[in-house]
Amino acid sequence: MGSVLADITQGAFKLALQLVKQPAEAHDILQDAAIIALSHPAAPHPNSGGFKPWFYKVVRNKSIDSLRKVKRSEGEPFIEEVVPDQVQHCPQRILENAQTQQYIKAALEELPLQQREIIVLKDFHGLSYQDIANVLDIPKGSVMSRLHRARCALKLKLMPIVEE
Amino acid sequence: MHQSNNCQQFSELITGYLDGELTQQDSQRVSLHLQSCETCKSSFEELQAMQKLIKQSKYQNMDESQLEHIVNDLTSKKLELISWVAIVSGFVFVLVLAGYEFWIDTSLSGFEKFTVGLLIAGGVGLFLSVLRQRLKNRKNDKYKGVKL
Repeated sequence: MGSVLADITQGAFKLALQLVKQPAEAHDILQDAAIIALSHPAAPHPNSGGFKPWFYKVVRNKSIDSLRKVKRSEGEPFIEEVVPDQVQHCPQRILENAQTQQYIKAALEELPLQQREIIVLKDFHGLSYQDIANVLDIPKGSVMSRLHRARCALKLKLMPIVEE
Repeated sequence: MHQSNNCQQFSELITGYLDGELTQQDSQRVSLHLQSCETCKSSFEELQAMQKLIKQSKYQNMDESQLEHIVNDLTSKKLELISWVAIVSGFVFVLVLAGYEFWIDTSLSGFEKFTVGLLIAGGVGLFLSVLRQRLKNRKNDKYKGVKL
């Protein structure tokens, strides 16, 4: 099995899971995305460098379709939550706590889709700003500010936990 | 916690600095600021810690059987391309060989060779122009047709 392709497919599945939150739906999304990758005449070749962001883009768009269908997206119509730019600082020890990983995962799931997707694309999947811009179909110049607001929102979600 | 105006201008840049996406000049500016500002340094470290935790998050993997199925399909596309390259290369080789044989055939007059050569050249030229147009359209139509 081609390990690069397997990694891309596995990563795309996790992206779908992070967006739709349901494994069964994520599987369906991957099936649909693979059919598009095989049949679309303009699909980049699977072993080309452009395939990963292209495939992620298809998976992301299919995930949004799926969320719209079940009307389960808490973020619709994808209006960003207004977050103050100055977020109070969480004590470092909290972020070092092993349980924090679970808290962060839960806090991520609470974020609106638009903020969740940009954080996972950067921090979990490690995409460059250029690739994120391609996946989300936004100018590269908007990625940093959008990502910053999303990270501030995530920190804000973590505040109640910190204050406990 | 209060941030000064000076800190506010670094607020977004800290995100870019963390991701290694700043220009060298901006990166140096942020680096110098972080050395002199405890508030921003602390903010940077929190973002860094948060990023690390997100990176280490565990999500379930795709079923092995389904993964294998999809990867095999995608790999078959790669084989398809290789097959096309082999067919086209073989075809071009046969054409060149046939052209050479035709050219050295002494039983045909120069006029016959010239006429047939003209027909073949026209056919090849037409094929190449259509192919070029198709490839151009395909290149400019990268994401069209993807159902968003």
